[in-house]
Amino acid sequence: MSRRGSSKTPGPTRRPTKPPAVGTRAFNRRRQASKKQTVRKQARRKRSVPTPTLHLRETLRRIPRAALLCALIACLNAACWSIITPPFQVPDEPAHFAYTQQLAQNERLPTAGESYSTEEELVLQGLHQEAVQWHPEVHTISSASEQHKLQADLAEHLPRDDGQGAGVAASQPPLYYLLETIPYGLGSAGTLLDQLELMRLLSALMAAVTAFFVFLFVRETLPSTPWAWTVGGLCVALAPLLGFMSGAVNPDAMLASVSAATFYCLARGFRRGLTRNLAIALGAVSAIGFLTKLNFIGLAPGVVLGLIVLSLRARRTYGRTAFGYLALALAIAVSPVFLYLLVNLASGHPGLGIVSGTFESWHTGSVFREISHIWQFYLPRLPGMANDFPGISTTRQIWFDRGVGLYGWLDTSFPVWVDNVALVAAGLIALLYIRSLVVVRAVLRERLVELVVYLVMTIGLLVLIGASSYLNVANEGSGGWAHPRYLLPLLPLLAAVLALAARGAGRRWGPAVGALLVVLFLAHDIFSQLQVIARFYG
Amino acid sequence: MRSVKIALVAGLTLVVIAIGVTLSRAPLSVAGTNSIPAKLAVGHTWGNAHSCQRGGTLPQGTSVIRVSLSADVGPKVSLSVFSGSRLLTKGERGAGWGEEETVSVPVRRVSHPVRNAFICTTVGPSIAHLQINGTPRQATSSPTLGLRDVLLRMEYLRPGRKSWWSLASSVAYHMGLGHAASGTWIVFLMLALMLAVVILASRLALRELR
Repeated sequence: MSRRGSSKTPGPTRRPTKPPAVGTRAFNRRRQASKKQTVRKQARRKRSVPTPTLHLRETLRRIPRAALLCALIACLNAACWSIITPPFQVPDEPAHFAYTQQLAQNERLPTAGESYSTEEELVLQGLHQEAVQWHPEVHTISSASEQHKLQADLAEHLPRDDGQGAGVAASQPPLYYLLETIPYGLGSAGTLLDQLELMRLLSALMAAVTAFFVFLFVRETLPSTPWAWTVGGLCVALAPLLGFMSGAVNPDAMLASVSAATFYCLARGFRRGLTRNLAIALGAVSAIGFLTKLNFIGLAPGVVLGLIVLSLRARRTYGRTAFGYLALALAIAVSPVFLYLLVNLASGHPGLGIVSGTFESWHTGSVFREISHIWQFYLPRLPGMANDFPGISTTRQIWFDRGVGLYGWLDTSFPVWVDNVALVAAGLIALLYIRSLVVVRAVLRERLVELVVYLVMTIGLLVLIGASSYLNVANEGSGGWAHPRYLLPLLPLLAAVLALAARGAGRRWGPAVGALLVVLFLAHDIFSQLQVIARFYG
Repeated sequence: MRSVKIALVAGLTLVVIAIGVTLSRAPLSVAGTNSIPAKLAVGHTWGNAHSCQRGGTLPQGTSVIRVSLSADVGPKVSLSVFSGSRLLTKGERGAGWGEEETVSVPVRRVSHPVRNAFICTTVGPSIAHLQINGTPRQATSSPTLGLRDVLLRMEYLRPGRKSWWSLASSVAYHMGLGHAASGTWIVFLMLALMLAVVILASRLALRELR
């Protein structure tokens, strides 16, 4: 046995100790020193009792600085988009603004009518909103006289509380709009455009939350590759679609944040196990999700599956208490839905309010027809399926090309050649991603259940969007809801794919490829902004 | 670490060059039209339709023709421009174009002005009804006009004379209108924000990617 091995406290850190002194004085000295030590220990123990402030400070200290920087970058980017995009030139922004205004002014939920307040109607006219929307050849107001007219209208202090409805936004839950009443109120001394800008900045803060949780999600899913966390977090922070939607008044901004938080909580559970606090957090973010936008329902089956799996695993540690955590999380998650049902039924309204109408007309035609439509909405048609999308490749021409860039009221896009270049870049990223998956296939097998949970969340969301598209096509004969922004809740998965793709280039070249991916997203963001500037102000 | 620095510098340099090249080009502008007024929703079609009409004079340099058709998800649209029986130029726009009241179809550049052009429009199969904007060929009360029954408005686009660089000040002035804070200064605020984004992202990438 080596000398180091025989030592009771091994290692070079142990200081050599003096041999103990002998005699009465020495004994008293030792006693006094021992007393002092005991007092000091007690004081230290008192100090170390974690107060809430200390606990919070400790938690904040543990947050990676890179995650905070990603959040800051996402917020600044979205703030920039909020300046670039003209007021009310984002999908449904007039309706979302009207919802908030009616909530703030009248303290009640709006109806589905499209009669906005006199003030909003006049501002929309002053901005030539309808003439600009869907007309790429028409720019925003461009003369001093138009500006003076608008300013004169804004200064008139027209009625704000006479709005009767919020159009398409009326069917959405109220939480996002409730939060938006804060900046709306803060700007109430100013003009409607001041209020709108402040509301857009709140959405920009939500982009920060999204990037922050996306970073943490990648950290939990790829714990062994710290540099890859930054790749995922930065790429999402710079994603132009997130910036565009979070630079506007639209609940998609908050849905992206809540979804990112949900993905993070699940990933944390899979890595560190389910605890009581995590169960409460998962229940709370799910409840917030349900109160933010109906699309969160699509993620719900995956979240429930994740909770069940996590509680089954936690049973080994906590026994039957683990199922208590499951019940706690589910109870918190569904409580707002239950409350909403109860209030509506008690007041004699349909259980799910305006949403009930949507569910009543949900099934038009056969279930197989609907499944076939949803499949073709994303993927190439299978043999035996009726062709619901003739003459178009939905995967490429709807989801990919539109995902590359479609801004304004979906009327501002890149030239076709940009989509082709983007396809090459996406192909290279896909190859690196596949290589990475092959390398880590053993780990994938170990984490199969976790991956299945994310897959169920993805499929749930896609099915929800596809089903509403089916309904839309069947009832109105329009082209369905082919808006890439509906996929924003899946940003954490995109970040993980990008981080894995960078890792797929190997240890030596991975960080450099990661840097190139960041530059690629930055370039995409800058050129998207230039495209919007050219369309509205060129 | 060195490879990250090289990748970042090379990438950012390429972005700056690409911005420079893009802004040195001239934006497309309307050089002429076929003088047909575009009344909204005068007809509808489910695609697989073909129609020809007189196109007036096509200016020299025309590289895009804007046609008054609209859809949520547009079908493939092909255009052929004839002078008499001679095909002068053609082009197509793939399916999937967005929610606009017009569709821009890139065509092979027209090298000289063409008088009395004849333009044929072919619309591929459509997943949704395609709204036809234009003027009915004949006065009718029928609510179901098809592509053949309507004269489409067409606008002929070609690159303008001034580059984006030389238009920068007017674009900046334009951006200062119709916002909460009016004035050209918001352009500088926007530039400052994006510069901050670039610097923060680059520094973070340099610090963490190793």
